[in-house]
Amino acid sequence: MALDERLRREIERAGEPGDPSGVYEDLIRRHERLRVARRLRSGALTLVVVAGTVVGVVGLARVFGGGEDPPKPPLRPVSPGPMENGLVAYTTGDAIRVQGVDGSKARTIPAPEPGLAWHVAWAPDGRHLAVAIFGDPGRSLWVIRDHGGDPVQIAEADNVSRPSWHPDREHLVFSTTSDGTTEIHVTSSDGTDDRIVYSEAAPGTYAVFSASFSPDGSQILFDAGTDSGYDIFVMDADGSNVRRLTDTGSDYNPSWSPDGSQIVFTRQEAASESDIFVMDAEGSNVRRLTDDDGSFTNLDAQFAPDGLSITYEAAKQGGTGPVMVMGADGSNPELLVAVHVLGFSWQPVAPDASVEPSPGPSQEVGKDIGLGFPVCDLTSVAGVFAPGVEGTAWVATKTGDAGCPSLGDGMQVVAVDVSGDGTADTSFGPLECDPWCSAFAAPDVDGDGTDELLIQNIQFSIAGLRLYDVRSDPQATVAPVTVSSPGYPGEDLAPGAEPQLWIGGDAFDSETLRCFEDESPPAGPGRVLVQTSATQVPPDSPDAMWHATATWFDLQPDGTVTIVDHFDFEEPVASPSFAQRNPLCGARLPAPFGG
Amino acid sequence: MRVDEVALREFLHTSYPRLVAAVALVCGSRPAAEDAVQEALLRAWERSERGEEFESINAWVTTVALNHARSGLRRIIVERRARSRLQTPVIASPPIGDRIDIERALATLPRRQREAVVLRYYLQLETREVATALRVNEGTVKSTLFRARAALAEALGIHDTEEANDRGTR
Repeated sequence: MALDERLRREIERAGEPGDPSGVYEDLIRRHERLRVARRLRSGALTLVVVAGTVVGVVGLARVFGGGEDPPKPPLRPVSPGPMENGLVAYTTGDAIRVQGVDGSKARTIPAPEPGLAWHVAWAPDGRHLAVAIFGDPGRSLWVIRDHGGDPVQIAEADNVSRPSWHPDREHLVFSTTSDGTTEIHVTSSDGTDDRIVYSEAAPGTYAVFSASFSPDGSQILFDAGTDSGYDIFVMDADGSNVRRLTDTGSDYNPSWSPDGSQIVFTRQEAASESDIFVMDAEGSNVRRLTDDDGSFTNLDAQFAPDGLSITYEAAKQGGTGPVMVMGADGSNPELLVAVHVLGFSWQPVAPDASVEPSPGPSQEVGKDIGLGFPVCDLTSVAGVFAPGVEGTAWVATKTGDAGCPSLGDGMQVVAVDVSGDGTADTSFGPLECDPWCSAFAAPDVDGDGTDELLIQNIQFSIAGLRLYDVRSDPQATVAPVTVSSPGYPGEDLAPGAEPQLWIGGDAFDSETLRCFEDESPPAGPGRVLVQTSATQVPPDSPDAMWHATATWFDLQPDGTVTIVDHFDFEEPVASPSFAQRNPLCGARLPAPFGG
Repeated sequence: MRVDEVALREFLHTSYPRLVAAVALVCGSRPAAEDAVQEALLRAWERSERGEEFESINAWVTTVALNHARSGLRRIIVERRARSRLQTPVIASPPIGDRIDIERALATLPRRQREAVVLRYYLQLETREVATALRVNEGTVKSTLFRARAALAEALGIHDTEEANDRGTR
């Protein structure tokens, strides 16, 4: 028998196929846990933004000695340059999709929160999207990267409109309606600067339904409920000088042409029948562009970035429909996106970025924390890394030439401010992150009055923790601890190895870490018990038991650790855990993502 | 190609059993193999949700699962978790006959040779596909397999004449 054949047969006999039963359900459970973690992270970011705004406003009010907001500088008009048509983004309720017009490069972008993904709008840099999520009961507006990362919530209301970007990329305009009041907001893309430029009582359907910046950002176009229905208005970007452009009572959803000379809009002609019309910017010379039969509800018309064509949704009977594209004069309508969409936007692309740079990712500088290069995707934790000094430790991603890499890509480093001046005094990297590291906690492991640093490497269903030793004297240093001689053979930890302790199973956060500071620890000056791989048995039951593994660290003066012990233990999940009574020797926990 | 719930179900019913077996042959631990393949599937799903497309889900998951299975400490944790679920220590049934021979023989091979042999002879991948999965060039795979075959022939007591005949048929 040929050797190859014999090997094949013997290895075939040796292989025991895995049993897939129950695996799907387990994957769904673990995946859902990840989604919850992501939502918590983006929610935490929102809290930071809101808190930052409140603190900022209060602080400024004190400085100026009054209770009113300080005057805000007006938005600067921008000369719009010619643009070309890039990718298209559309929403189908359960997904945000991006693709080329030929269907190439199709990808799905994760929504920033649960709910129906509805309105979508590309930023002028072509790398960010504003997305409206229709949840139950509220609706929210988010700015995300075009890969779905870095979500920032900028609005929440009973209803929000399709957002429109200012050409400076730093502001958006949109309308909200809540508690009988309708408002037009001009808000910065990081959510920190929110100005209400138009507000009125809106009983019933008397609400502002859309708002969009003119191509130069100097004016805002909107529709609003009137006694006769809906009509189209325009005003200056600061909310002054409101002018009415139509008075049919059936016009809504207006949108500018890229050169600002035309406005395309929807006119409702019968119950569920509507068509697309265009008019000159001052409201004259109205022309019909579509004339479909009564079953069509053509709406959401927008000029393509190059201004040569117009897209619209050809909905049926007021429902959803595919995206059509036609000439700017209404000629040659044809199918652009076959699936039924809720929202649509065409990516603007500068024709020659080298001649006229767009404020795109290549100019995105990230944050400067004193490393000599910009960083993004920051996580941080406060700690005392030098005696008596409140400092900060960050885990950050180096911003590349193409901007902030996708979460999990790019080089990550740890940086520490030991002097308390807000900038890094020392750093270590690149970190071994697969796929992504973040600051986890700053415990005082050895009880010397200064903190060490725990960084977690999130590997989806489990996370690996590494301990970093931070010093300030004679100079600032941060470095991973290594196992001291003779190692810990029982766990494959050789001298010099960087111990990585896994937390996972059903134990995923800082409460899985324990400190035996006041209990009866094994001998040794430094004592942190890391609980690993805790699993609830049976899962999600009040009678469940933690089946956990624990490891004792003993941090030596030379920055190495002795593994004192490593063992399994059990305890009731429902009982007040030691972690709740004494979480990690009072370790500081990380700031929300982005902090 | 996207990884969604439908693709996951399909993968679990078609590719999962043999891939778990293959990874277990490489790393010597069935719980670690199950964990590694499931982790790889989760990652593929996560990446797909971020918009990533896969040319071949099987190839990607195979590569990532083998990478996962390399972590010795992680293997220990996973096995403890498996024991915890079962409430009793996992006592593997002793392999018999040819199985013990081939498992022992595989265990004597360097990691990379073991991976190449299992991918080639158990998953029956072409050398080009083995190269893709192991992120090496095809020539490296061929030389790795050549050395692995020779080592296995010796470990399994396959006579030189068989080996020579085998070479002669190629």
